[in-house]
Amino acid sequence: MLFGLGATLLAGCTGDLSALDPAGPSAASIARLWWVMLAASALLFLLVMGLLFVAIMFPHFGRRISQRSWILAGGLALPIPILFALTFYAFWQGEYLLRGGGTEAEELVRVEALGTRWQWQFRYPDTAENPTTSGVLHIPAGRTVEVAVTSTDVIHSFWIPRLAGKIDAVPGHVTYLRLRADRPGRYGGQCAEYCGTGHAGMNFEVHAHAEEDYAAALGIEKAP
Amino acid sequence: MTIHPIIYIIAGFLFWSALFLLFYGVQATGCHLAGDNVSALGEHPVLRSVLIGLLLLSIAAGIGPFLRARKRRAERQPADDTAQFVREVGGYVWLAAAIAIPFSFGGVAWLTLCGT
Repeated sequence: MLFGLGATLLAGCTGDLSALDPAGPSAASIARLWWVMLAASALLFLLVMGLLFVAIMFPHFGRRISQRSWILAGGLALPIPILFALTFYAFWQGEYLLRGGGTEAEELVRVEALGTRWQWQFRYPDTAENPTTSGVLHIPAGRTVEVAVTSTDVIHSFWIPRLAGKIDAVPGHVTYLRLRADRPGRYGGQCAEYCGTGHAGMNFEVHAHAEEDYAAALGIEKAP
Repeated sequence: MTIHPIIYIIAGFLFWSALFLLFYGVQATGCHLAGDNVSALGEHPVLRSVLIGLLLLSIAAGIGPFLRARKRRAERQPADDTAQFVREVGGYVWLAAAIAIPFSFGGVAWLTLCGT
């Protein structure tokens, strides 16, 4: 029964919308942060529960240490360095994430995502024809893509869990998200901000193509 | 003028919250004024200088009330234990605010300011 329960719970860690199954550096950075935070919180939980257990089982434990020392050690000396370490690790990962995996700006492939109740439209300003696709975003695999996200009506949130974090789509404002798919494939995307009755169905697909297939996928003649 | 200790305690939290709004507003407005070219993840030296100046002022403004509270405590005999305790808590709240300011807002010195 425990095995069944465990298998059911772990099933949530995979699939098309699993942030724990990253397929690019941005999503991998987020997943890494999650594992680091989980490990740190598990260790702290075990430490606190261990001390509680020892204090219950051995009432004389720790009496030689003054109350003031317990408060200073448990309330300041222990949490502050951990908080510092986790915060600066998060800053470092955030900077990495912001650049879509450390790529220089001139190497970016630019696409535009327009959220509208309740679908996503995509445009490709780097291509001469600037085609539009609806519900499917085409990207080249192995290249960092900068998605310029906006909305025509309410606030949406653009999210491809296996490739990057979320970014809000705000009416009248453009926000930017950088991501990369390491390998060609299909990845699920979903609006992650409740935007009305059609919110649950406001999903899309990302098709990551090999470099040589990208132009053809957009219906563009490749330059000779 | 004597400030009621409860007001003194609450003021430490309010001070930090007001700074949060201020930093957020200055950064967002600065990025907006920087123009549409934010996607290039460029440097914004003027905005960064303004934010660092604001950070230094905030740290000074946060430490001041804590030091004043310490001085007052050393000079004056409190009316009773409760009043002394509440004043002491107020002083530590301001100390916590002064420490939280560089921790929370120090990122303006080196983190990317615009670009999302």
